[in-house]
Amino acid sequence: MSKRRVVVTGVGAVTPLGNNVRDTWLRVTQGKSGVGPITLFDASTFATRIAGEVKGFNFERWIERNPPLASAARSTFFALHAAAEAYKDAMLKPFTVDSRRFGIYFGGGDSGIDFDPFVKTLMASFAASGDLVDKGEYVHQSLRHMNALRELESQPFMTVTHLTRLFDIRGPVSNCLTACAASSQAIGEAYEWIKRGDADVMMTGGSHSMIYPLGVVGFSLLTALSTRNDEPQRASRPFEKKRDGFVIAEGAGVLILEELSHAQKRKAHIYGEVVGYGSTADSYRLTDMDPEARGASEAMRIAMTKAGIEPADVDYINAHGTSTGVNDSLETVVIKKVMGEYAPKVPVSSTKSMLGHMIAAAGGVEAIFCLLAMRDSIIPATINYEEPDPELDLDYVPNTARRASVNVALSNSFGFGGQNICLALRKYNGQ
Amino acid sequence: MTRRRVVVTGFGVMSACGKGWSPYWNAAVHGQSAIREVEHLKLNGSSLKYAGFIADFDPKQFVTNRKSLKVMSREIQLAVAAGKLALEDAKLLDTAYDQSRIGVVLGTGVINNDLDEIGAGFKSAIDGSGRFSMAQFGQDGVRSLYPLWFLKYLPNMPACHVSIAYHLRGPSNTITTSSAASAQAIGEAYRVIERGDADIMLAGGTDSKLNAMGISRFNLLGLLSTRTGAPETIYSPFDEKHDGIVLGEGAGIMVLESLENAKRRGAMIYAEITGYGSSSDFNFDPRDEDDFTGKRVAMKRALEDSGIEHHDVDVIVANGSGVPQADIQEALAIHSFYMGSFGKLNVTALKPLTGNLVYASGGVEAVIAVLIANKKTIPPVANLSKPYPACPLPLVKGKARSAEVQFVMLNNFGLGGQNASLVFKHVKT
Repeated sequence: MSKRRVVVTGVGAVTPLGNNVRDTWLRVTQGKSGVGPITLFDASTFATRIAGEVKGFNFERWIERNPPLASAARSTFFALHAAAEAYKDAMLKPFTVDSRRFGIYFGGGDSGIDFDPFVKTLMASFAASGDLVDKGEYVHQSLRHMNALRELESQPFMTVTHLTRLFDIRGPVSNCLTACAASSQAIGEAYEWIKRGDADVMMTGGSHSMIYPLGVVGFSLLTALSTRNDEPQRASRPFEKKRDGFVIAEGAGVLILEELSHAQKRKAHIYGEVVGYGSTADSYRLTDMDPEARGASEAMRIAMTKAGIEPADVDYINAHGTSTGVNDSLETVVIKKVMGEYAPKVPVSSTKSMLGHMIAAAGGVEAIFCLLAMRDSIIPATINYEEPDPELDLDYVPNTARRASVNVALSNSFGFGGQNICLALRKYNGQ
Repeated sequence: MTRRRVVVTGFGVMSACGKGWSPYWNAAVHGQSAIREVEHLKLNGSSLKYAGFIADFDPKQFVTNRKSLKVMSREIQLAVAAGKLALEDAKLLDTAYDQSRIGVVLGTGVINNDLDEIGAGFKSAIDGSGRFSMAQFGQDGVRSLYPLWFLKYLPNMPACHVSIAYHLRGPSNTITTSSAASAQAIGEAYRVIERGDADIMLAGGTDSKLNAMGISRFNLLGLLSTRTGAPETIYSPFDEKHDGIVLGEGAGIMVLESLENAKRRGAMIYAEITGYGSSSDFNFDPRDEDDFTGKRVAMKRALEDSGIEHHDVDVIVANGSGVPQADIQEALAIHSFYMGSFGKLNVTALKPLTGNLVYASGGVEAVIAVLIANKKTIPPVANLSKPYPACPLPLVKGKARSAEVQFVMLNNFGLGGQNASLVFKHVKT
């Protein structure tokens, strides 16, 4: 069996900087920030009141065309929109692809608790005294206040359900949810599926929105979020000295992966090739990264080894770069470890400086940025880079995007709890 | 590129049937359901009266670090327990394995919040007019939440805890496709070893919906059985009395290993995993006589992956959720391969034993599927007295059956239309 190669033939995105790839990428290359005050709920008294929200998204249009979507979760719409863009971009049409050979491996997040009905149910079911909840009453009250379909749609498999339904995907199906690494992991697994021969075309990437009260509170209590509420656009400052946490964001990034000869046969535009995927666990502590960063370094090494890439070959690293104190320090250590003497020469940037952290969806858009960097020979910047952190001394492409030819790019995604993913991507040169 | 062969060398099961795989296997062989009345849940508002509850689970037996116990929901605790049992069974616990060559894939869903844990926060957000105030919640409510509360409920946490507890530094993944999730986790772990990314993988899943949020969701969706009677007799998939799900809780994790690695360390091999197929239910044409349903397609893919035909299969462990429409659909999918000429095929279903473990289903059911291939004994469908006429399958009724068994197929179908099938093969020892 000859080795099957996997290329990307379509991309789609919904982000805080735009509801398609073109707008998002234009603003990313201009160094714009998509972060602003939280408008999705009243966060006025929350410790963190800023986020990267998707703006001006037309939910109604999707529901008009597809009435069953009426109860769907916010992130499902983002996924569908980005998927529609990627599907069109790849010039896929029914009959251009054998739907049985068209699969999906997605990093779709859950959508949290349907908040208002939950609060109504809970308020009506507190026991007569104390803070305890009468569980029987809760179940009883849920029948009055909750909507069965909304509850179903909040589950982390429903985005994939809608994607398979609407894009006629009859091939193999999966969804992973490994926190901040999810969509990168999905891309890696989708690549493996095509390589193995389980599918010729795969839809992959991810979507997520955790900008809801308990999501913001949850990360906030873990002191993971930036509280630079007065300067939202300057809050996400990966690798910079005054960084104080990540900015939560939402959206979707969807890619169409395709076996090379399949793409060539239908003369599809090829953005680039997926050439390596590394997955490891820290097996250290839940919230902290291993100070030796063995897991993350290992993930990068595996991706590079599989791709047959040496440190000298790497033209760009799209960092995980969350803007938390620990992540950015350790990721710097990791890159130094893996790149060795080449570490100072490799441009490393975090597009989370502009978009915030889209959690499960982050890796999807970041892989797209790597491909667009190859296409346009532009390396996106790490914005808000004002004062260097003395320990962090890599080339973070500060503040302004840079013209440079990119042949090989790596994309890092490290999940909360210690899951590390690295993807290796290469420009497709026609051979 | 040659594909590495993958075998099963250990299991860990936590379920209402007991601790470890042996009480679960015994319950299966005797068709004994562990479903009981769940007095303590006192859920007068729901149709749920019975469940497969693990009454005597003591997490401290498995987790020595008290501090980490505080950030572990029940699902996480069950996974860590099942992981330990699995490593023990595979004779790997406390041995010096290469940590970078061993990983974990679990099927888990959204873990439900403990209402009493977050209740106080919400209560302190009730304003003067008796209404919930978001502003007050942001100010006062948040303060009464345990700072690490969030960590208990992220779907990837069971896999993270298992990886931390047992020093698994290889690939880690969490699959969230509802009742198909754990079977997919096993399938994915199989692929990871097959392509050489790890030598050993812990795979399976964990779930407990036996809490107010979990039960209310199933209740709202109208999926719960409303039958009353002797608790151990009510959950009856494929029976004419089937009327829905009886929930359970548990975790099932198996040790998958490359054949090479298992041989090298002289491990006991239970069976080989030879096939994995997945699909979704949508867009298949019901008039298409071949691929008329996604459930059939998942099975077909698992067969093709194994390089076998449907008549090579000796036993199918069916999904058998007990929801009439789902049972009928599955029966039609199986039936379509055989068109009535079932030959040597036996079909069984396991959910009545433990209750429906939702995301963890495949994790525990795969254990029995492997043991069937290993022991050549086929457990009956518990509580099956009169097979539902619309499910014309060669169901094992009454007593366990001994038979020559080469290939066993497991089906797990999820609520969102995702389907997974696995094939296990007998290995001569």
